[in-house]
Amino acid sequence: MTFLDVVSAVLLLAGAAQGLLGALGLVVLPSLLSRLQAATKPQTLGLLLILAGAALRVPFESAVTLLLVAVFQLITAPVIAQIVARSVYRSGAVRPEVLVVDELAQRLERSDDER
Amino acid sequence: MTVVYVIVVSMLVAAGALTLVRLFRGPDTLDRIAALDVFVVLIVGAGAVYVAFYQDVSNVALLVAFSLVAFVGSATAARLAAHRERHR
Amino acid sequence: MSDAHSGTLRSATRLLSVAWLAVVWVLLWGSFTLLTIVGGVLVGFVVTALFRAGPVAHRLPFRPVALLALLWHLACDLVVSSFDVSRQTLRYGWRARGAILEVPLLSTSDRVVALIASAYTLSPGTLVLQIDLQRSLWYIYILGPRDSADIEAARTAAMEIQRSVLAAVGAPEEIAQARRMMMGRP
Repeated sequence: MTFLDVVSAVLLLAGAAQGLLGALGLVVLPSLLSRLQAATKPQTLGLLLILAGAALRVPFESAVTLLLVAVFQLITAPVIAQIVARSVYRSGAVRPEVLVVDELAQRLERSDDER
Repeated sequence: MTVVYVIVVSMLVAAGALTLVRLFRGPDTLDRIAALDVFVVLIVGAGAVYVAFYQDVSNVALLVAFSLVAFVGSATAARLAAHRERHR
Repeated sequence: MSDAHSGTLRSATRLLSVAWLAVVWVLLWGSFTLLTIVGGVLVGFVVTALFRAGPVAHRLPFRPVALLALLWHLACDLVVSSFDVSRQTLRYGWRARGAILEVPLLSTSDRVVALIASAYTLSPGTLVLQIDLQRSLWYIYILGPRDSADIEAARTAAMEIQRSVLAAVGAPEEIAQARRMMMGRP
């Protein structure tokens, strides 16, 4: 077992743990918006760590391709989160009782008054 | 070393199971889309673990293709759901 | 802007996209041979000829130090935010709280707004909900605040991200605009 193998094992373990925590958040968090947080961040970090761990154990050419997967994930994860988040407010899945403040609702009320 | 991989794979499987719970429970279409996206990320992760364990790089190109197709799929589904909300 | 100037600007932008596409092509093949590199450049030219990018309004700034600072900032943010979201999950779970805030937007340039939104979505416990370009406001969702001090901290962090994105990729006009927009606000 070489030094690289140990580093790779640590990265894989950390990545899988982040993925598991993200999935847990997806189940236990109270609203769609908070679940989206769990779906984007721990998952992205988890996949990046796993890819890094795998990249250490393969030849350089394949490691570079894995890097490409990581770049795609970093570019695409916020895009999906944003498309979903944009339509959350309209769909009524916001659940105001789990919000501390909601300044968007305040603004919408004000613009209703102006009309 | 094998022990590490067993732990890693079981964590990923558990994560996949939790994601499926959200996928089936919903309650919103958008919830399901988010869950499906996470599920695909977990599959790509599992593919990378396979690559690391067997040091078999023949599937690496497949991972690239899969992550891109998954992105197009999730983005399309999310846009469709958004479109539907707007015309409700 | 003279025609000759905008012409060189367009070809410079096109060369940049060709280079970027060639890099992706070489990475896809995973081998650094003459064939893949020449092939990548050819593919880049074909793709940029087929899909013409929209006109670029002004010369894009190139500030490597600020750009690296931004990337480093984002990398740190991604790690911190992952742990933050995990902590919220484990500590509060079903009882986790969130907030939707209204924050002034410092730019009206599409390019800068898009970059700010992506950068912000990757940072700790936050998400962009809606962008109101007419009023120059954006609405963000934050996971985890429990009192008004947390909320003010989140507001400051949101302004901080906008500033570092502008410092890295904003054109001088856009930075000047941001300064003007800041003046009108407390």
